[in-house]
Amino acid sequence: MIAWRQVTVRYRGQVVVQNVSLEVPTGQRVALVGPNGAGKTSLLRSALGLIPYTGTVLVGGVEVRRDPVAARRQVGYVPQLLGFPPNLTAAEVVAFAQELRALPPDPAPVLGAAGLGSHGEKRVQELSGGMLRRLGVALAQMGDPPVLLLDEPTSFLDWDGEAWLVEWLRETTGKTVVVASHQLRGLERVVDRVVLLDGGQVARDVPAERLRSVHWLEVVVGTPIGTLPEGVQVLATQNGAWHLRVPDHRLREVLEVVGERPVRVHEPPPERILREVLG
Amino acid sequence: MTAWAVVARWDLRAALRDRWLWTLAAAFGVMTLAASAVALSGLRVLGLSSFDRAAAALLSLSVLFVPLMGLVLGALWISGERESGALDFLLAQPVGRVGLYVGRFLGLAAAVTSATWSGYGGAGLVLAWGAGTDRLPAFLWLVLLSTLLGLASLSVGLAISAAATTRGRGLGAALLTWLTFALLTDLGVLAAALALRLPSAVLLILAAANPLSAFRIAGLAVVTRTPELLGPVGMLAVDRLGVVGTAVTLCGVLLAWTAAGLAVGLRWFVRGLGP
Repeated sequence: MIAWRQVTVRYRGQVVVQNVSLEVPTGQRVALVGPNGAGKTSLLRSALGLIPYTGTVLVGGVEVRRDPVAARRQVGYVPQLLGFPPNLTAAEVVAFAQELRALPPDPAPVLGAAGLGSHGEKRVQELSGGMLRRLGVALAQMGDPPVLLLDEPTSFLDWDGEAWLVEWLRETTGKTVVVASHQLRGLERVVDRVVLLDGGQVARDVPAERLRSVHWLEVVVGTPIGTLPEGVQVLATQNGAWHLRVPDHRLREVLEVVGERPVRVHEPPPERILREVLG
Repeated sequence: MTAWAVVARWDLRAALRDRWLWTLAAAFGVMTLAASAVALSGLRVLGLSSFDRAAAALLSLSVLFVPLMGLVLGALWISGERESGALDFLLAQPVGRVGLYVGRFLGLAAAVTSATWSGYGGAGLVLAWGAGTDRLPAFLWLVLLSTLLGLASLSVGLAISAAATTRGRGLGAALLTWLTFALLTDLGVLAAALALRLPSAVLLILAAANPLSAFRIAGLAVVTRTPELLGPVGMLAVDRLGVVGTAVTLCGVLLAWTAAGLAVGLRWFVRGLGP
Protein backbone atom coordinates (compact mmCIF):
# COMPACT_ATOMS: atom_id res chain seq x y z
CA MET A 1 0.00 0.00 0.00
CA ILE A 2 1.13 3.51 -0.67
CA ALA A 3 -0.69 6.61 0.50
CA TRP A 4 -0.19 10.34 0.16
CA ARG A 5 -2.23 12.34 2.65
CA GLN A 6 -2.52 16.08 2.19
CA VAL A 7 0.92 16.19 0.65
CA THR A 8 2.36 19.48 -0.49
CA VAL A 9 5.77 19.83 -2.14
CA ARG A 10 7.50 23.15 -2.65
CA TYR A 11 10.47 23.67 -4.92
CA ARG A 12 12.35 26.97 -5.12
CA GLY A 13 9.46 28.80 -3.57
CA GLN A 14 6.85 27.32 -5.90
CA VAL A 15 4.19 24.82 -4.95
CA VAL A 16 4.61 21.84 -7.31
CA VAL A 17 2.27 19.45 -5.48
CA GLN A 18 -0.66 20.95 -3.63
CA ASN A 19 -2.50 19.13 -0.87
CA VAL A 20 -2.70 15.83 -2.73
CA SER A 21 -4.38 12.86 -1.09
CA LEU A 22 -4.14 9.59 -2.96
CA GLU A 23 -4.21 6.01 -1.80
CA VAL A 24 -3.07 3.01 -3.80
CA PRO A 25 -4.12 -0.23 -2.11
CA THR A 26 -1.83 -3.26 -2.08
CA GLY A 27 -1.70 -4.96 -5.46
CA GLN A 28 -3.33 -2.08 -7.36
CA ARG A 29 -1.73 -0.50 -10.43
CA VAL A 30 -2.18 3.18 -11.06
CA ALA A 31 -1.16 5.36 -13.97
CA LEU A 32 -0.34 8.87 -12.81
CA VAL A 33 -0.72 11.00 -15.92
CA GLY A 34 -0.57 14.66 -16.74
CA PRO A 35 1.34 17.30 -18.62
CA ASN A 36 4.94 18.21 -17.82
CA GLY A 37 5.16 20.08 -14.55
CA ALA A 38 1.97 18.55 -13.20
CA GLY A 39 3.79 17.22 -10.13
CA LYS A 40 4.04 13.53 -11.05
CA THR A 41 7.77 13.18 -10.44
CA SER A 42 7.61 15.15 -7.20
CA LEU A 43 4.86 12.91 -5.90
CA LEU A 44 6.90 9.78 -6.65
CA ARG A 45 10.08 11.27 -5.18
CA SER A 46 8.24 12.17 -2.00
CA ALA A 47 7.44 8.48 -1.55
CA LEU A 48 11.18 7.77 -1.50
CA GLY A 49 12.02 10.59 0.86
CA LEU A 50 14.08 12.30 -1.84
CA ILE A 51 12.39 15.67 -1.45
CA PRO A 52 10.96 17.57 1.48
CA TYR A 53 7.19 17.66 1.77
CA THR A 54 4.45 18.49 4.19
CA GLY A 55 1.69 16.03 4.95
CA THR A 56 2.07 12.28 5.29
CA VAL A 57 3.42 9.67 2.89
CA LEU A 58 3.07 6.03 3.85
CA VAL A 59 4.79 3.17 2.04
CA GLY A 60 3.76 -0.23 3.32
CA GLY A 61 2.71 1.39 6.58
CA VAL A 62 6.06 3.16 7.03
CA GLU A 63 5.97 6.94 7.31
CA VAL A 64 8.59 7.97 4.80
CA ARG A 65 9.83 11.02 6.67
CA ARG A 66 10.33 9.01 9.83
CA ASP A 67 12.22 6.11 8.23
CA PRO A 68 13.12 6.74 4.58
CA VAL A 69 15.52 3.80 4.43
CA ALA A 70 12.82 1.33 5.54
CA ALA A 71 10.43 2.87 3.02
CA ARG A 72 12.98 2.61 0.19
CA ARG A 73 13.63 -1.02 1.08
CA GLN A 74 10.06 -1.75 -0.04
CA VAL A 75 10.26 0.22 -3.27
CA GLY A 76 11.68 -0.51 -6.69
CA TYR A 77 12.11 2.82 -8.48
CA VAL A 78 12.79 3.71 -12.09
CA PRO A 79 13.61 7.44 -12.21
CA GLN A 80 12.75 9.67 -15.14
CA LEU A 81 16.38 10.60 -15.76
CA LEU A 82 18.01 7.22 -15.53
CA GLY A 83 21.74 7.17 -14.85
CA PHE A 84 24.12 4.85 -13.10
CA PRO A 85 27.43 5.32 -11.34
CA PRO A 86 30.02 6.08 -14.03
CA ASN A 87 32.98 3.88 -14.90
CA LEU A 88 31.18 0.71 -13.83
CA THR A 89 30.01 -2.04 -16.15
CA ALA A 90 26.36 -3.05 -16.35
CA ALA A 91 27.13 -6.21 -14.37
CA GLU A 92 28.95 -4.19 -11.71
CA VAL A 93 26.04 -1.76 -11.39
CA VAL A 94 23.71 -4.69 -10.79
CA ALA A 95 26.09 -6.22 -8.22
CA PHE A 96 26.43 -2.82 -6.51
CA ALA A 97 22.66 -2.43 -6.25
CA GLN A 98 22.30 -6.00 -5.02
CA GLU A 99 24.83 -5.41 -2.25
CA LEU A 100 23.07 -2.19 -1.24
CA ARG A 101 19.88 -4.22 -0.87
CA ALA A 102 21.77 -6.90 1.08
CA LEU A 103 21.25 -9.42 -1.72
CA PRO A 104 23.95 -11.84 -2.84
CA PRO A 105 25.69 -10.32 -5.89
CA ASP A 106 24.52 -12.28 -8.91
CA PRO A 107 24.11 -9.98 -11.92
CA ALA A 108 23.46 -12.60 -14.61
CA PRO A 109 19.74 -13.24 -13.98
CA VAL A 110 18.99 -9.51 -13.71
CA LEU A 111 20.84 -8.74 -16.92
CA GLY A 112 19.14 -11.66 -18.62
CA ALA A 113 15.71 -10.38 -17.56
CA ALA A 114 16.57 -7.01 -19.10
CA GLY A 115 17.70 -8.64 -22.34
CA LEU A 116 21.24 -7.44 -21.62
CA GLY A 117 22.86 -10.82 -21.02
CA SER A 118 25.56 -10.15 -23.60
CA HIS A 119 26.18 -6.55 -22.49
CA GLY A 120 27.22 -7.16 -18.89
CA GLU A 121 30.85 -6.17 -19.47
CA LYS A 122 29.98 -2.91 -21.19
CA ARG A 123 30.40 0.26 -19.18
CA VAL A 124 27.08 1.94 -18.50
CA GLN A 125 28.13 4.95 -20.59
CA GLU A 126 28.27 2.63 -23.61
CA LEU A 127 24.67 1.42 -23.26
CA SER A 128 21.92 3.00 -25.36
CA GLY A 129 19.03 4.89 -23.76
CA GLY A 130 16.72 1.93 -24.32
CA MET A 131 19.21 -0.50 -22.78
CA LEU A 132 19.59 1.75 -19.74
CA ARG A 133 15.81 1.90 -19.37
CA ARG A 134 15.58 -1.89 -19.49
CA LEU A 135 18.39 -2.17 -16.97
CA GLY A 136 16.60 0.32 -14.72
CA VAL A 137 13.37 -1.64 -14.87
CA ALA A 138 15.21 -4.89 -14.11
CA LEU A 139 17.05 -3.27 -11.18
CA ALA A 140 13.77 -1.97 -9.77
CA GLN A 141 12.49 -5.53 -9.49
CA MET A 142 15.52 -6.82 -7.62
CA GLY A 143 14.69 -8.32 -4.26
CA ASP A 144 11.03 -8.49 -5.25
CA PRO A 145 9.94 -5.20 -3.62
CA PRO A 146 6.18 -4.97 -2.97
CA VAL A 147 5.97 -1.44 -4.44
CA LEU A 148 7.11 -0.27 -7.87
CA LEU A 149 7.37 3.41 -8.78
CA LEU A 150 8.09 4.03 -12.45
CA ASP A 151 8.68 7.57 -13.67
CA GLU A 152 8.18 7.96 -17.43
CA PRO A 153 9.34 4.38 -18.00
CA THR A 154 8.67 4.52 -21.73
CA SER A 155 11.01 7.42 -22.45
CA PHE A 156 13.98 6.39 -24.63
CA LEU A 157 12.16 3.18 -25.56
CA ASP A 158 11.29 2.41 -29.17
CA TRP A 159 8.00 0.77 -30.18
CA ASP A 160 9.31 -2.69 -29.29
CA GLY A 161 10.59 -1.41 -25.97
CA GLU A 162 7.24 0.15 -25.15
CA ALA A 163 5.47 -3.07 -26.01
CA TRP A 164 7.98 -4.98 -23.83
CA LEU A 165 7.30 -2.64 -20.93
CA VAL A 166 3.52 -2.84 -21.23
CA GLU A 167 3.74 -6.63 -21.42
CA TRP A 168 6.06 -6.68 -18.41
CA LEU A 169 3.58 -4.55 -16.46
CA ARG A 170 0.76 -6.88 -17.44
CA GLU A 171 2.70 -9.85 -16.07
CA THR A 172 3.75 -8.04 -12.89
CA THR A 173 0.96 -9.06 -10.56
CA GLY A 174 0.53 -8.76 -6.83
CA LYS A 175 2.57 -5.55 -6.58
CA THR A 176 1.50 -2.02 -5.87
CA VAL A 177 2.54 -0.10 -8.96
CA VAL A 178 2.46 3.61 -9.71
CA VAL A 179 3.49 4.63 -13.23
CA ALA A 180 3.98 8.32 -13.95
CA SER A 181 3.69 9.25 -17.59
CA HIS A 182 2.77 12.25 -19.69
CA GLN A 183 1.11 9.88 -22.17
CA LEU A 184 -0.95 6.75 -21.73
CA ARG A 185 0.84 4.72 -24.42
CA GLY A 186 -1.30 1.68 -23.76
CA LEU A 187 -0.92 1.89 -20.00
CA GLU A 188 -4.71 2.03 -19.64
CA ARG A 189 -4.75 -1.62 -20.73
CA VAL A 190 -2.53 -2.80 -17.86
CA VAL A 191 -3.44 -0.53 -14.93
CA ASP A 192 -6.47 -0.47 -12.69
CA ARG A 193 -6.79 3.29 -12.26
CA VAL A 194 -5.78 6.40 -14.10
CA VAL A 195 -5.14 9.52 -12.03
CA LEU A 196 -4.76 12.83 -13.85
CA LEU A 197 -2.55 15.37 -12.13
CA ASP A 198 -2.77 18.96 -13.25
CA GLY A 199 -1.14 21.97 -11.64
CA GLY A 200 0.02 19.85 -8.72
CA GLN A 201 -3.47 18.61 -7.89
CA VAL A 202 -5.51 15.52 -8.61
CA ALA A 203 -7.82 16.59 -11.43
CA ARG A 204 -9.37 13.21 -12.28
CA ASP A 205 -9.29 9.71 -10.79
CA VAL A 206 -11.03 7.12 -12.95
CA PRO A 207 -11.06 3.35 -13.38
CA ALA A 208 -8.83 2.45 -16.30
CA GLU A 209 -11.53 0.39 -17.97
CA ARG A 210 -13.36 3.59 -18.84
CA LEU A 211 -10.45 4.59 -21.05
CA ARG A 212 -9.97 1.26 -22.77
CA SER A 213 -12.77 1.98 -25.21
CA VAL A 214 -11.05 5.13 -26.44
CA HIS A 215 -9.10 4.36 -29.56
CA TRP A 216 -8.16 7.45 -31.47
CA LEU A 217 -5.02 9.26 -32.45
CA GLU A 218 -4.11 12.79 -33.33
CA VAL A 219 -2.69 13.35 -36.79
CA VAL A 220 -1.06 16.65 -37.72
CA VAL A 221 -0.81 17.27 -41.46
CA GLY A 222 1.44 20.04 -42.72
CA THR A 223 -0.90 21.22 -45.48
CA PRO A 224 -4.68 21.01 -45.98
CA ILE A 225 -6.05 17.82 -47.49
CA GLY A 226 -9.19 17.25 -49.50
CA THR A 227 -11.92 14.89 -48.44
CA LEU A 228 -11.55 13.40 -44.98
CA PRO A 229 -12.42 9.75 -44.40
CA GLU A 230 -15.54 9.06 -42.39
CA GLY A 231 -15.21 9.51 -38.63
CA VAL A 232 -12.23 11.85 -38.92
CA GLN A 233 -12.70 15.26 -37.31
CA VAL A 234 -10.70 18.44 -37.65
CA LEU A 235 -9.68 19.48 -34.14
CA ALA A 236 -7.93 22.68 -35.14
CA THR A 237 -6.06 24.42 -37.92
CA GLN A 238 -2.92 26.20 -36.90
CA ASN A 239 -0.35 27.92 -39.16
CA GLY A 240 -1.68 25.99 -42.12
CA ALA A 241 -1.41 22.63 -40.34
CA TRP A 242 -4.46 20.50 -39.72
CA HIS A 243 -4.89 18.71 -36.42
CA LEU A 244 -7.11 15.70 -36.98
CA ARG A 245 -8.84 13.30 -34.62
CA VAL A 246 -8.56 9.91 -36.27
CA PRO A 247 -10.09 6.66 -34.98
CA ASP A 248 -7.48 3.89 -34.86
CA HIS A 249 -9.14 1.88 -37.64
CA ARG A 250 -9.18 4.90 -39.98
CA LEU A 251 -5.47 5.70 -39.66
CA ARG A 252 -4.40 3.76 -42.76
CA GLU A 253 -7.01 5.55 -44.91
CA VAL A 254 -5.94 8.94 -43.59
CA LEU A 255 -2.28 8.24 -44.32
CA GLU A 256 -3.20 7.20 -47.85
CA VAL A 257 -5.05 10.49 -48.37
CA VAL A 258 -2.17 12.44 -46.86
CA GLY A 259 0.24 10.88 -49.33
CA GLU A 260 3.61 12.64 -49.45
CA ARG A 261 2.62 15.57 -47.26
CA PRO A 262 4.53 15.97 -43.97
CA VAL A 263 2.60 14.23 -41.22
CA ARG A 264 2.92 13.53 -37.50
CA VAL A 265 0.91 10.92 -35.62
CA HIS A 266 0.69 10.89 -31.86
CA GLU A 267 -1.45 9.75 -29.04
CA PRO A 268 -3.73 12.48 -27.68
CA PRO A 269 -2.62 13.88 -24.32
CA PRO A 270 -4.22 12.01 -21.42
CA GLU A 271 -6.03 15.11 -20.22
CA ARG A 272 -7.84 15.33 -23.56
CA ILE A 273 -8.77 11.66 -23.46
CA LEU A 274 -10.06 12.00 -19.92
CA ARG A 275 -12.00 15.14 -20.81
CA GLU A 276 -13.64 13.30 -23.69
CA VAL A 277 -14.46 10.26 -21.60
CA LEU A 278 -15.74 12.16 -18.60
CA GLY A 279 -17.39 14.93 -20.54
CA MET B 1 28.73 -5.40 5.01
CA THR B 2 27.20 -2.06 6.02
CA ALA B 3 25.85 0.26 3.34
CA TRP B 4 28.64 2.84 3.70
CA ALA B 5 31.26 0.13 3.29
CA VAL B 6 29.50 -1.13 0.14
CA VAL B 7 29.41 2.41 -1.26
CA ALA B 8 33.07 2.97 -0.36
CA ARG B 9 34.19 -0.23 -2.08
CA TRP B 10 32.28 0.41 -5.29
CA ASP B 11 33.19 4.09 -5.41
CA LEU B 12 36.84 3.17 -5.04
CA ARG B 13 36.53 0.81 -7.97
CA ALA B 14 34.78 3.44 -10.10
CA ALA B 15 37.21 6.20 -9.11
CA LEU B 16 40.23 4.09 -9.96
CA ARG B 17 38.93 4.11 -13.53
CA ASP B 18 38.35 7.86 -13.59
CA ARG B 19 40.32 9.46 -16.40
CA TRP B 20 40.67 12.83 -14.65
CA LEU B 21 42.29 11.20 -11.67
CA TRP B 22 44.69 9.09 -13.68
CA THR B 23 45.61 11.83 -16.09
CA LEU B 24 46.62 14.02 -13.14
CA ALA B 25 48.27 11.10 -11.32
CA ALA B 26 50.25 10.15 -14.41
CA ALA B 27 51.39 13.74 -14.94
CA PHE B 28 52.31 13.97 -11.25
CA GLY B 29 54.25 10.70 -11.41
CA VAL B 30 56.21 11.74 -14.49
CA MET B 31 57.05 15.12 -12.99
CA THR B 32 58.16 13.73 -9.62
CA LEU B 33 60.27 11.12 -11.34
CA ALA B 34 61.91 13.71 -13.58
CA ALA B 35 62.40 16.16 -10.70
CA SER B 36 64.05 13.49 -8.55
CA ALA B 37 66.32 12.37 -11.36
CA VAL B 38 67.38 15.94 -12.16
CA ALA B 39 67.91 16.77 -8.47
CA LEU B 40 70.13 13.74 -7.99
CA SER B 41 72.09 14.30 -11.17
CA GLY B 42 74.13 17.22 -9.79
CA LEU B 43 76.52 17.47 -6.89
CA ARG B 44 75.92 19.93 -4.07
CA VAL B 45 74.73 23.17 -5.57
CA LEU B 46 74.35 26.39 -3.54
CA GLY B 47 74.92 24.37 -0.39
CA LEU B 48 71.84 22.18 -0.89
CA SER B 49 72.10 18.42 -0.73
CA SER B 50 70.64 16.45 -3.62
CA PHE B 51 67.91 15.12 -1.35
CA ASP B 52 67.00 18.64 -0.22
CA ARG B 53 66.69 19.71 -3.83
CA ALA B 54 64.58 16.67 -4.66
CA ALA B 55 62.40 17.16 -1.58
CA ALA B 56 61.83 20.82 -2.43
CA ALA B 57 60.90 19.86 -5.98
CA LEU B 58 58.55 17.12 -4.79
CA LEU B 59 56.88 19.52 -2.38
CA SER B 60 56.36 22.10 -5.12
CA LEU B 61 54.88 19.48 -7.42
CA SER B 62 52.67 18.06 -4.67
CA VAL B 63 51.35 21.53 -3.85
CA LEU B 64 50.17 21.78 -7.45
CA PHE B 65 49.04 18.27 -8.30
CA VAL B 66 47.72 16.62 -5.13
CA PRO B 67 45.08 19.28 -4.32
CA LEU B 68 44.05 19.30 -7.95
CA MET B 69 43.47 15.54 -7.86
CA GLY B 70 41.39 15.71 -4.68
CA LEU B 71 39.44 18.82 -5.61
CA VAL B 72 38.62 17.77 -9.17
CA LEU B 73 37.71 14.18 -8.35
CA GLY B 74 35.54 15.25 -5.42
CA ALA B 75 33.90 18.16 -7.21
CA LEU B 76 32.95 16.10 -10.25
CA TRP B 77 31.74 13.05 -8.37
CA ILE B 78 28.33 13.95 -6.95
CA SER B 79 27.66 16.84 -9.33
CA GLY B 80 28.26 14.52 -12.29
CA GLU B 81 25.93 11.93 -10.85
CA ARG B 82 23.32 14.58 -10.16
CA GLU B 83 23.54 15.67 -13.80
CA SER B 84 23.42 12.15 -15.22
CA GLY B 85 20.68 10.85 -12.92
CA ALA B 86 22.97 8.35 -11.19
CA LEU B 87 22.46 10.13 -7.89
CA ASP B 88 18.74 9.37 -8.01
CA PHE B 89 19.55 5.72 -8.57
CA LEU B 90 21.73 5.66 -5.44
CA LEU B 91 19.41 7.75 -3.29
CA ALA B 92 16.53 5.42 -4.13
CA GLN B 93 18.42 2.50 -2.60
CA PRO B 94 17.92 1.61 1.06
CA VAL B 95 20.87 3.62 2.30
CA GLY B 96 20.80 6.81 4.34
CA ARG B 97 22.32 10.02 3.01
CA VAL B 98 24.91 10.15 5.76
CA GLY B 99 26.05 6.59 5.02
CA LEU B 100 26.13 7.34 1.32
CA TYR B 101 28.21 10.49 1.76
CA VAL B 102 30.65 8.96 4.24
CA GLY B 103 31.02 5.88 2.05
CA ARG B 104 31.75 8.05 -0.95
CA PHE B 105 34.37 10.02 0.93
CA LEU B 106 36.12 6.86 2.11
CA GLY B 107 36.07 5.27 -1.35
CA LEU B 108 37.35 8.40 -3.06
CA ALA B 109 39.89 8.96 -0.29
CA ALA B 110 41.34 5.53 -0.99
CA ALA B 111 41.47 6.37 -4.71
CA VAL B 112 43.19 9.75 -4.20
CA THR B 113 45.64 8.16 -1.77
CA SER B 114 46.43 5.42 -4.30
CA ALA B 115 46.99 8.02 -7.00
CA THR B 116 49.22 10.09 -4.70
CA TRP B 117 51.30 7.11 -3.64
CA SER B 118 51.68 5.88 -7.19
CA GLY B 119 52.85 9.38 -8.15
CA TYR B 120 55.54 9.19 -5.46
CA GLY B 121 56.50 5.60 -6.30
CA GLY B 122 58.92 6.32 -9.13
CA ALA B 123 60.50 9.23 -7.29
CA GLY B 124 60.98 7.07 -4.21
CA LEU B 125 62.81 4.42 -6.18
CA VAL B 126 65.05 7.00 -7.86
CA LEU B 127 65.84 8.67 -4.54
CA ALA B 128 66.55 5.36 -2.82
CA TRP B 129 68.86 4.38 -5.64
CA GLY B 130 70.62 7.73 -5.93
CA ALA B 131 70.65 9.08 -2.37
CA GLY B 132 70.44 5.91 -0.31
CA THR B 133 67.83 4.99 2.24
CA ASP B 134 69.09 7.07 5.16
CA ARG B 135 66.59 9.83 4.23
CA LEU B 136 63.76 7.34 3.84
CA PRO B 137 61.87 8.65 6.92
CA ALA B 138 61.95 12.15 5.45
CA PHE B 139 60.61 10.85 2.16
CA LEU B 140 57.85 8.92 3.93
CA TRP B 141 56.96 12.09 5.83
CA LEU B 142 56.46 13.81 2.50
CA VAL B 143 54.21 10.99 1.34
CA LEU B 144 52.20 11.11 4.57
CA LEU B 145 51.78 14.88 4.34
CA SER B 146 50.74 14.63 0.71
CA THR B 147 48.18 12.00 1.69
CA LEU B 148 46.74 14.38 4.29
CA LEU B 149 46.70 17.18 1.72
CA GLY B 150 44.89 14.88 -0.70
CA LEU B 151 42.26 14.06 1.92
CA ALA B 152 41.74 17.73 2.81
CA SER B 153 41.37 18.63 -0.88
CA LEU B 154 39.01 15.75 -1.53
CA SER B 155 36.85 16.71 1.41
CA VAL B 156 36.57 20.29 0.09
CA GLY B 157 35.98 19.01 -3.46
CA LEU B 158 33.22 16.68 -2.33
CA ALA B 159 31.57 19.53 -0.42
CA ILE B 160 31.64 21.58 -3.63
CA SER B 161 30.09 18.62 -5.41
CA ALA B 162 27.32 18.34 -2.84
CA ALA B 163 26.25 21.88 -3.70
CA ALA B 164 27.01 22.06 -7.44
CA THR B 165 24.12 21.32 -9.77
CA THR B 166 26.25 20.41 -12.79
CA ARG B 167 29.70 18.99 -13.53
CA GLY B 168 30.69 22.26 -15.16
CA ARG B 169 29.89 24.29 -12.08
CA GLY B 170 31.60 21.74 -9.86
CA LEU B 171 34.74 21.79 -11.96
CA GLY B 172 34.75 25.59 -12.15
CA ALA B 173 34.40 25.92 -8.39
CA ALA B 174 37.13 23.32 -7.82
CA LEU B 175 39.59 25.12 -10.11
CA LEU B 176 38.78 28.47 -8.52
CA THR B 177 39.35 26.98 -5.07
CA TRP B 178 42.66 25.51 -6.19
CA LEU B 179 43.75 28.82 -7.68
CA THR B 180 42.74 30.63 -4.50
CA PHE B 181 44.72 28.30 -2.27
CA ALA B 182 47.71 27.94 -4.59
CA LEU B 183 48.20 31.58 -5.49
CA LEU B 184 45.76 34.16 -4.28
CA THR B 185 45.77 33.39 -0.55
CA ASP B 186 49.54 33.67 -0.22
CA LEU B 187 49.55 36.87 -2.24
CA GLY B 188 46.69 38.21 -0.15
CA VAL B 189 48.46 37.39 3.11
CA LEU B 190 51.65 38.99 1.81
CA ALA B 191 49.80 42.11 0.71
CA ALA B 192 47.92 42.31 4.01
CA ALA B 193 51.13 41.88 5.95
CA LEU B 194 52.76 44.73 4.06
CA ALA B 195 49.78 47.04 4.06
CA LEU B 196 48.56 46.46 7.59
CA ARG B 197 51.93 45.71 9.23
CA LEU B 198 50.48 42.58 10.78
CA PRO B 199 52.19 41.11 13.82
CA SER B 200 54.21 38.01 13.02
CA ALA B 201 51.90 35.72 15.01
CA VAL B 202 48.88 36.83 12.96
CA LEU B 203 50.85 36.40 9.77
CA LEU B 204 51.75 32.87 10.82
CA ILE B 205 48.14 32.00 11.61
CA LEU B 206 46.91 33.45 8.31
CA ALA B 207 49.53 31.55 6.33
CA ALA B 208 48.94 28.30 8.21
CA ALA B 209 45.19 28.50 7.64
CA ASN B 210 45.84 27.86 3.95
CA PRO B 211 46.15 24.06 3.66
CA LEU B 212 48.67 24.37 0.84
CA SER B 213 50.91 26.67 2.86
CA ALA B 214 50.51 24.41 5.89
CA PHE B 215 51.58 21.46 3.77
CA ARG B 216 54.57 23.30 2.30
CA ILE B 217 55.85 24.57 5.66
CA ALA B 218 55.28 21.23 7.43
CA GLY B 219 57.09 19.42 4.65
CA LEU B 220 60.09 21.71 4.51
CA ALA B 221 60.37 22.03 8.29
CA VAL B 222 60.90 18.33 8.70
CA VAL B 223 62.51 17.26 5.44
CA THR B 224 65.03 19.91 4.61
CA ARG B 225 68.13 20.62 6.57
CA THR B 226 68.36 24.00 4.89
CA PRO B 227 66.43 26.66 6.90
CA GLU B 228 66.54 29.17 4.02
CA LEU B 229 64.14 26.99 2.05
CA LEU B 230 61.47 27.50 4.70
CA GLY B 231 60.90 31.14 3.93
CA PRO B 232 60.13 33.79 6.56
CA VAL B 233 56.81 32.32 7.74
CA GLY B 234 58.25 28.81 7.97
CA MET B 235 61.29 30.04 9.87
CA LEU B 236 58.99 31.91 12.23
CA ALA B 237 56.89 28.76 12.77
CA VAL B 238 59.92 26.64 13.55
CA ASP B 239 61.27 29.37 15.78
CA ARG B 240 58.02 29.55 17.77
CA LEU B 241 56.91 25.91 17.77
CA GLY B 242 60.03 23.90 17.02
CA VAL B 243 60.24 21.39 14.18
CA VAL B 244 58.01 18.77 15.80
CA GLY B 245 55.51 21.33 17.05
CA THR B 246 55.30 22.91 13.61
CA ALA B 247 54.81 19.55 11.92
CA VAL B 248 52.14 18.39 14.38
CA THR B 249 50.30 21.71 14.33
CA LEU B 250 50.24 21.91 10.54
CA CYS B 251 49.15 18.27 10.25
CA GLY B 252 46.34 19.33 12.55
CA VAL B 253 45.49 22.12 10.10
CA LEU B 254 45.19 19.60 7.25
CA LEU B 255 43.06 17.27 9.38
CA ALA B 256 40.89 20.21 10.42
CA TRP B 257 40.31 21.08 6.75
CA THR B 258 39.35 17.45 6.10
CA ALA B 259 36.90 17.41 9.00
CA ALA B 260 35.45 20.83 8.14
CA GLY B 261 35.00 19.90 4.48
CA LEU B 262 33.29 16.67 5.45
CA ALA B 263 30.99 18.38 7.93
CA VAL B 264 29.99 21.14 5.52
CA GLY B 265 29.59 18.75 2.59
CA LEU B 266 27.54 16.34 4.65
CA ARG B 267 25.27 19.13 5.78
CA TRP B 268 24.78 20.33 2.21
CA PHE B 269 24.24 16.80 0.93
CA VAL B 270 21.68 15.93 3.57
CA ARG B 271 19.81 19.23 3.28
CA GLY B 272 20.34 19.97 -0.38
CA LEU B 273 17.20 18.32 -1.64
CA GLY B 274 15.31 19.22 -4.78
CA PRO B 275 12.98 17.61 -7.32
